Amino acid sequence: MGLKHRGILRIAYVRLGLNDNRLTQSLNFYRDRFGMLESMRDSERAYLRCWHETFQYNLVLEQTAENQLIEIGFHVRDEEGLDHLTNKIEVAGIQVEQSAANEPLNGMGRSISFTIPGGQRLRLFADMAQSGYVTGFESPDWVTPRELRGTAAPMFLNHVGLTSADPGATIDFLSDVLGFGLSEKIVSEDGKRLSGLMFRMCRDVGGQELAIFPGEDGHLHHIAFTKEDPNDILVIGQYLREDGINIDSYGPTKQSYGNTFSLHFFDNFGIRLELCCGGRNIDAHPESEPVIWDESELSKALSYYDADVNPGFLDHSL
Amino acid sequence: MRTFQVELRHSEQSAVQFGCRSDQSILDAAYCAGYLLASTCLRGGCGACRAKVIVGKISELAPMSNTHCQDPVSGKITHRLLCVAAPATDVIIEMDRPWRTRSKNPLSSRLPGRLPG
Repeated sequence: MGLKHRGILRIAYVRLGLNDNRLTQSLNFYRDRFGMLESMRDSERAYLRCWHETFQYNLVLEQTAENQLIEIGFHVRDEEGLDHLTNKIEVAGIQVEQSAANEPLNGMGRSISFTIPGGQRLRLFADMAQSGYVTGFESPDWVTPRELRGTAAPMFLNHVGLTSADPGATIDFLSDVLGFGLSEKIVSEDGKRLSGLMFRMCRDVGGQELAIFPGEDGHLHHIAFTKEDPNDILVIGQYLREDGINIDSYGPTKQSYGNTFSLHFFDNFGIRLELCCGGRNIDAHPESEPVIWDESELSKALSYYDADVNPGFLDHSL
Repeated sequence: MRTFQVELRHSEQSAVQFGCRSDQSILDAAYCAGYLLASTCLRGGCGACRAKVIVGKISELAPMSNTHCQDPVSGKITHRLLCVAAPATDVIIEMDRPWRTRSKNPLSSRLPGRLPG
């Protein structure tokens, strides 16, 4: 019996509000140095995508008075799935806001948005305009496009880390109401769930689309993007340093929690970004069991080589 | 085998105390007590963990690099390397480098209502 991939398919975009006049600084970072492509621009926003993304955006930037995570967008299979989820979310006692096509974001079909128990806003949609691959679909060259070489040039949006005052409640909502799977979790000595990696579908770099960490509600911990392999990440780390970009400590490392090779660094607004490769290949079958980490093994979970815990790494970044 | 009291001091930090067995390195006992001392080679060679014994005596679990135990000006042996030093009495030690505190529950302490640990 095949798995019914209904409901949410995958993470699609992150929408950030930045105190950035005409988005000059953020575009300087995300487009010119980080290496995302500008798909669209309107009076309020810039829409950026990764070079291996077919949909029109993975990152939406807009000018706001305070820096903030506005929402995270998820692609739902079809309109029926959108209606089904609307009902489930409302039954769970959470208010759902309906938005017409192209409202508030361009290139998107009708959508619903709501606040999860951790305080962050999600938006679900079934339809988004496609830009297609930069490389084209016919006998493509699967190499970083020439104009992006020398930048981070991420391939996809991989996952988003959030902080939550009650990680268990957030994990339950994502699992029970939105249908996410749990690939890994970290538990305290007394069995409390401290962190979870939630996913919907197995992808090239799989096992997490939302990573929940303990902390204040409503905040962003990091945004992760996919790269091909560790070598790629190490070379890009040099470009980022050359460009004066602040690398977060650990530096490049294997993160056993999620089984990625990762490099964390900060954009020019202090938002923590991650480039990662590898990851768990999760088979989303009914017998799948999560990997469980004990909090006492946190150093092994977060940075396998140096087995260190950097408390600053646990802070939210927006 | 006995357990002795070790006190670590550093000009920028409040002193800390913990127990250390006579066959255990002070570096290891510090780690178990939640203090991360500067260290690299863990075999008495690099000098990262060098410190002065102010009060008491230590025993050497393995040979220590003379160069890293010497005062750079006088050439006299003034320092010990804590990765291969065990206490032979209660000791008070003045660290060259500050230590870091290792939290035993770095994630739980971020939940509301939990004490930092």
